Amino acid sequence: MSRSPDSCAVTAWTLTSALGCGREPLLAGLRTRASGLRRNDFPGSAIDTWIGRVAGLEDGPELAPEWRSRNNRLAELGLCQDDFSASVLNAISRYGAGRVGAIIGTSTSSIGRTEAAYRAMDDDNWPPEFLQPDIHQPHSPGLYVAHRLGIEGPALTISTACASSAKVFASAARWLQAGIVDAVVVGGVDTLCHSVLGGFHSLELTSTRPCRPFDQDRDGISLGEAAGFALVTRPGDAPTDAPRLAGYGETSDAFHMSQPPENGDGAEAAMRAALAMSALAPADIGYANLHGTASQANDVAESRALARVFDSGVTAASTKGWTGHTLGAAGIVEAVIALEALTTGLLPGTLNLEKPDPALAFPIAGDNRDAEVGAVLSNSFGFGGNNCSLVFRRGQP
Amino acid sequence: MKARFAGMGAWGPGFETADALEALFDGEMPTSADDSDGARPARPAATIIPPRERRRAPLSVKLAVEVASQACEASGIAPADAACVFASALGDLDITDYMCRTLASETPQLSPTKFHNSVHNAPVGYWTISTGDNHAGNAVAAGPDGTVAVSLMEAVIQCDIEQRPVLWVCQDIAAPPAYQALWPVNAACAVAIMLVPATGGDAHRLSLAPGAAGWPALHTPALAALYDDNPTARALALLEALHRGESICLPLNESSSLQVTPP
Repeated sequence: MSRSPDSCAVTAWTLTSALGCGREPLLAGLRTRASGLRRNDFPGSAIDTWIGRVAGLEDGPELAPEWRSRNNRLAELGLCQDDFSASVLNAISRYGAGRVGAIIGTSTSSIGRTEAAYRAMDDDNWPPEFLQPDIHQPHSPGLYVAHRLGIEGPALTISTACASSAKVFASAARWLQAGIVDAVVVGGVDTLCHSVLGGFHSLELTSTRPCRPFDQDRDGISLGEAAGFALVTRPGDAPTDAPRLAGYGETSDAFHMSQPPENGDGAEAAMRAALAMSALAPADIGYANLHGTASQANDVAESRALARVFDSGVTAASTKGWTGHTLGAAGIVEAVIALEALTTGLLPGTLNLEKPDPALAFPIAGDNRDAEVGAVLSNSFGFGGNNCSLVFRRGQP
Repeated sequence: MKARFAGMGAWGPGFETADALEALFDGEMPTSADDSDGARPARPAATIIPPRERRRAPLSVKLAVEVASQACEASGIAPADAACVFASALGDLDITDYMCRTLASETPQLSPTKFHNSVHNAPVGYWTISTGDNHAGNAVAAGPDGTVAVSLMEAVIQCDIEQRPVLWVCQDIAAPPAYQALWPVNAACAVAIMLVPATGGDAHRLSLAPGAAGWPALHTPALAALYDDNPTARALALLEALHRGESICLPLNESSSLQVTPP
């Protein structure tokens, strides 16, 4: 496959998660190792677990009735941070609204609003305020982001469970290479709702404590919510020092709907494909942000895949102890953390990792490090055996 | 944007294969898609799913897998050689209905199987598991009016840029009663096209055009009701145009459209 590396430049990015709104509280939380997780206090949920809830979201921006949902409210809050909307408006004025696209990842869309409609309905009839066609469908976040930013180019929602908002970068790179747009807003938005709290609880995958990725006593995940966005363009249209998406790898396990293969084959193939496209060697990667959910199966399988790909080692860690597992937003959450590692030199370790599982095949970093790195990798794996790895590298100095 | 459209699959009321659909385009009258007692609609066979998984697979999965199998067979491309872009405008509304209804009930405990089947990528997940396909598998949506065109565009771009076959599948099931006020969809429909990197004069070409387009009129009266009913059935206008060797303009969103031109 003759793909040139550095297929796109990342010119702006932002994240709103349990650590706070925007990059400043994100970096502060990562640096001081202050987790954003709290005991489950999601209204109406009695499940004994910890969650990464965005504080104050209920008091956040009020949306027009047709757009009202927790997911869109989080998207709106996220778009307001770090001057991200202004960056997009600049791109629109430069290229034209029809030459800017939107690709948003999610697993839940606005299903929290649908849950509310079912609680409120009478004999299958929804109260009128719930009859929102742009809400009760999978494309809800893509529609909202395009509408809110005035994007008139193609808009797509990707929903491949927990790999969703990593794959947005791969699709955006292809759209730019195909020449149908000059800039793409990529991102991910997923919010806490009863479907995922109850669903992961039914699979016995939620921990009763803050999640402990790669720890021998880990007993499941902490669910979280987040909205993150990035603006990507062709390198020739970006500042020379803007980070580059150097490679991506998308694979399928072809194994099981909710379990990875024990040896991590699909994860390995995704990492190898991303590295091959980037034309970088494993030794060039200075930091790997792992999927590291703290589920029994994922963490051992991912460590086995890492051991085969990074035979000379890499600083590798999971940041889900800070943010929780934000599902369809996990890809953008961890891409943003990887971009911050690339541009600030803060390499976050793994929160709550006290006794590394002896079954791990690869050493996992517990402590934070400060180091200049030239390239970073981010892993996202989802139900259905859906894997995506991304490699970002520094722009020119 | 270009790719060769190498094989198709189709399933809906009145047709269970792409050949049967094309016969309708040619003026044949539809046969009933109901089973012998007429009490409930037929379901696609989807025999490529191993029996144990098939029993647990929801209709959305069976629809997608059925047309995907047909497109592979028609094109001669092995399933394991193609990346996948699977689309659905509304997702599996039966499972959404189950989840939301259960959560609103006195006993809000969800079935773990139904929960893992609730992800939008369940159809492509079952497909890759059933066929041993390790390539990229995507699951996308772009609204009731945009999903067909945007997802097809996404699949053609992936085929063209990655120079690998891409299996495009789109399906939507009927909406349960609680959704009818919002999405009055009454029949299931699925279509698939195997896209192969084009080598020259065999390419179907896609291009974006500024300005909104409406959905064009269908020339096949027997399919008009389905065409208006189901978001995936909008693809019938595309398949009909291709069958007639004509180009077609599909609505992409409120400000642009997608021109598809056959070789």
